[in-house]
Amino acid sequence: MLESYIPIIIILIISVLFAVVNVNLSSLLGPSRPNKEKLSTYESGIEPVGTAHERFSVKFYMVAVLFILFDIEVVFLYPWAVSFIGLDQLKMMYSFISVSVFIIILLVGYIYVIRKGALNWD
Amino acid sequence: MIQIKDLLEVLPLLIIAFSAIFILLLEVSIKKSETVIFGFSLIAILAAIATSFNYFNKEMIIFNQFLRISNASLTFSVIILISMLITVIASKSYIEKENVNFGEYYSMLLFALMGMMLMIFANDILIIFIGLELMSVCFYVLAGFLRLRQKSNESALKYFLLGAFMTGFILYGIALIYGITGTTNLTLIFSDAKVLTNYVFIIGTALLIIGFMFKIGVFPFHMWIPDVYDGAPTVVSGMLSTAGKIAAVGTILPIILAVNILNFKIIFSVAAVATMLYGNVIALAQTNIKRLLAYSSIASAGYIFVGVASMNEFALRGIAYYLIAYTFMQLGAFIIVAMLEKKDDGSRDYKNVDLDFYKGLGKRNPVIATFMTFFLFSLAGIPPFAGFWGKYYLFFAAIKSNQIWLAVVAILLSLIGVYYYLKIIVYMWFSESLEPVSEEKFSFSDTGFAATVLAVIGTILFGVDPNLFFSLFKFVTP
Amino acid sequence: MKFDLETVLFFSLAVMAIGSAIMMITRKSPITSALYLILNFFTVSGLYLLLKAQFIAIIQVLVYMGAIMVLFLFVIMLLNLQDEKILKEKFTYRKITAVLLSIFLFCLLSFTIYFGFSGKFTAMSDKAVEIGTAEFLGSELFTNFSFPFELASFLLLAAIVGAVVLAKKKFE
Repeated sequence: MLESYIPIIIILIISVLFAVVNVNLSSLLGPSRPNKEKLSTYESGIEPVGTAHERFSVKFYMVAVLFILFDIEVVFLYPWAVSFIGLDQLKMMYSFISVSVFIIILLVGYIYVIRKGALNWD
Repeated sequence: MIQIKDLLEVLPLLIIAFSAIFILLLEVSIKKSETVIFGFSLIAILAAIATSFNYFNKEMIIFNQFLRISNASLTFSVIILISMLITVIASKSYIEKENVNFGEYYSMLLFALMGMMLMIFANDILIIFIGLELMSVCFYVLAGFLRLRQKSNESALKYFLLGAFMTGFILYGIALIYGITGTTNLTLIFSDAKVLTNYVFIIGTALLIIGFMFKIGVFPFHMWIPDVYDGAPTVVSGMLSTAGKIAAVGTILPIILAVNILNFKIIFSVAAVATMLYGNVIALAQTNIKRLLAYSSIASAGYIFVGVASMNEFALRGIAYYLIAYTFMQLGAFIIVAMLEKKDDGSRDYKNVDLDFYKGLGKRNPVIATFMTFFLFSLAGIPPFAGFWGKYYLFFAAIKSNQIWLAVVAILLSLIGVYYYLKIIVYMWFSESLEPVSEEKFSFSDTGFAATVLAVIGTILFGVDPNLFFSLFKFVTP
Repeated sequence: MKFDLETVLFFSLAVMAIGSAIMMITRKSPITSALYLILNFFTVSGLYLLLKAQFIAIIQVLVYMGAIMVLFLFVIMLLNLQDEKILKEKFTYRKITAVLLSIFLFCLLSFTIYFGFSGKFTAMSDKAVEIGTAEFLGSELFTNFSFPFELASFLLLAAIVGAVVLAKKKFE
């Protein structure tokens, strides 16, 4: 059973090694002669003002929440897509109807979001 | 799989579900749609109440065993529908006054209503959980609906954080119950007598009950109630304290009665006494009427738990009667507070909610003061109002289950309650007004007034004729 | 106790999960905490795989590590805590009670689970692999469990409306 995951584990190990080795190797091999100018934040030649930690607008949050909600909708569709072909005729129709109802209900949500202009960047 | 004919068996639920969606479409397709939506949601709730009465005395398990229609669940659902009806009527003027006259408000109310009905009708823990989440999500939004008022935001955030935390308890309980029984279906779970004595099952049920005790607001899970009810829009506070509590009681009560673990009896009795004591004593010191009503709702949760602790056949009718009486009187009192509240002026806090404002209300506004007196008398449990019979049937159930001490303590503690209810009445009729008399502008076109009239009718009707309730909801007299 | 690959994997994942959870709540910077939370989600998804729940494991990676983490980071940036020191709280008697009660709850639950389930599950059934797949989940979810599935769409719809009502600037 676990043997089937070996390729995934190998890829995981390789990707972790790749990231760790590359980051550390460049700092080990590269010359490091810092001075004050080099260490300051690069702002296209202009003196940096304030911190980089700016408060984000709530608009980003709005988009992120709506993304998650519709993302979860898509997650539900994945097992449907996989299982659909294996079902018998009756269950096939039934699952088609139940997914259609699901999508139609969420479509109302989508219409609502669009018409309310919740995704407009004003 | 669901058959088409199953759909006809849950018409009230379907009506509410589809109108909640339809309202959203109305909101985005018509301009100035608020009045249309208000009328539409009223009709939807009335239709749901009317269709509910078709299903009495028809015990059935439908939707692939996910829903169970019984007399008890129908009774609770009708009480919730009535509470929502009064809330919707009262909301119209209130949200206009608060400058939040949006169609989404009604949609949220109906979604919450749908969640509550699902919980009540559920025959599967999955459905209970989905219904609970649907209800809670809408409650969090409704509590924070006055977006520009800091108090309201604070209330929504507190409610959300604590509610989400307690949902974790409920989910953990569900996981344990599922782990030991291998099913989420309540009929199957209760049919296996051996599993009902298993540790895991008992702890799982206990976690589930703890989560619902939080939603009902029973000591020691009551601490969120004053802050949330104080900060939420006043009509919403009334709805949370009635419909929200009824849904939680109606969901957990059949489970408690079916599991019937006798060791829980003493725990419920202690919780009931502690809740009544806490709610009534702290309410004495309140100077804000919303907080006072919040503490009084904690005390009411204690009375309900007196019924739960008796765990016999009288408990169900006692609790159901108390809940319908409670709906009328508590919601009515909150709506009166909402009507007397000052119009939104962009301030952070609600105005005119101090007890001092109620001094001399009888001279300034005799009609409203009379109604408020009715509600307060009923809350204090004085005949001939519905609250008296509610308490009577609850304490009767406790006596019948050989817990006379509990009934005696409950009666003594409810006497403390009489003090602070009467204090408001004395303020209203026998104190000098602090406000100038002429300033009061009150119009009978306020929809809150219609809602209060409905609540008064309910309070008096069920107070004068207690048997009306049992015949209306087809209770078999034990 | 058998000492095979699965046991080793389980214990290493479990230690990582608890370790990352502790690191998450003790870090000063919220961003570091969020990154440890991602590690925690990852190890939990590994635990799901050990339980042969493939689909749940993938969803854990996609939804939690992908989408929900984005939300966490947005909230952190939205709040933009400049001075984390003000969040530091004193260790009062109230907290000590809370800690003791949490330990009690933990012991209660672990004893319950240990003794309540002991002897109940000796080996994982052969069906377990099949149940965890997306095919099986799909064939159950859209037929026998279609009612809760439809209700999930109502929950999502209510959440969409709620999010728009609470978070939209200039709502009318």
